[in-house]
Amino acid sequence: MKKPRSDSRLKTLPEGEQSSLAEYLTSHGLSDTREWLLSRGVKTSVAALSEFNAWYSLRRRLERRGTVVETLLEGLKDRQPELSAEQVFEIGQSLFAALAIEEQDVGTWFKTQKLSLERRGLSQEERRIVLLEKRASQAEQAQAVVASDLTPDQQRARLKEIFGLA
Amino acid sequence: MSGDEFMSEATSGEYLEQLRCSLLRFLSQNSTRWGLPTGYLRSLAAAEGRPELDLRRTELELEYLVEKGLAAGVQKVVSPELRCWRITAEGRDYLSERNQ
Repeated sequence: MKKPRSDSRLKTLPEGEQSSLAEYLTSHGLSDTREWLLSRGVKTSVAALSEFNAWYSLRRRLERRGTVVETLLEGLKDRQPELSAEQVFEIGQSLFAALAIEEQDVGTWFKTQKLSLERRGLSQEERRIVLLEKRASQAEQAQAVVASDLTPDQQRARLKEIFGLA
Repeated sequence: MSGDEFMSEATSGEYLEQLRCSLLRFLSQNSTRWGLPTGYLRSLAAAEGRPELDLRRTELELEYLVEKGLAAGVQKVVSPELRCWRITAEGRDYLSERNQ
């Protein structure tokens, strides 16, 4: 049988222990954390800890983004129960994607991509970037609409307008 | 590294295998019901030491994973050209077998 990777052992720790480990990593270096784990009977490496930290951090970030979107959709469904499940899913997917992209320092990434595109003249990819920028803008507008004092009918019309469902 | 050297490395079997595994790992970390956009996956993979990775290559590799049944595209009506992706049960099994 293949020997399990040491970072995969960390990833299969109970959720509470993973959370404690991630918390410890926020205020301690990798070597200190390795010693701390060893004192608790868990042998691992600095590389495995680094991999675990990145894995855990991404997982939690995505969970938080998902929770934000679900909360926004709950408010939207309460105000506009006539929206179909498909429309709600579409809006949720757009919001989630926009939040994910925004998290990754969109400005720097777009700048890098545009410089690269200028060098290579890839108009198709350039169009993709324009569309990604549009999506980020849509998400911001939708969040403002859901949080606004507009009537349900006005919100519905505005959201449909923003996401091109009108 | 020159452009030619990079292209040579970027199309080598080992490079592509590692890239595909990375993309699957990122997808596996998403426990929500939403798909992850190509651009986001590209940026995560680039941050692992692939600064030259572009959207086209990322999308090609995701399409490869779909062909193998390890990933799936999310069906979208609005902006379908901005593709989003999820891991499949087969993809999770594949990662598990590789201890990832």
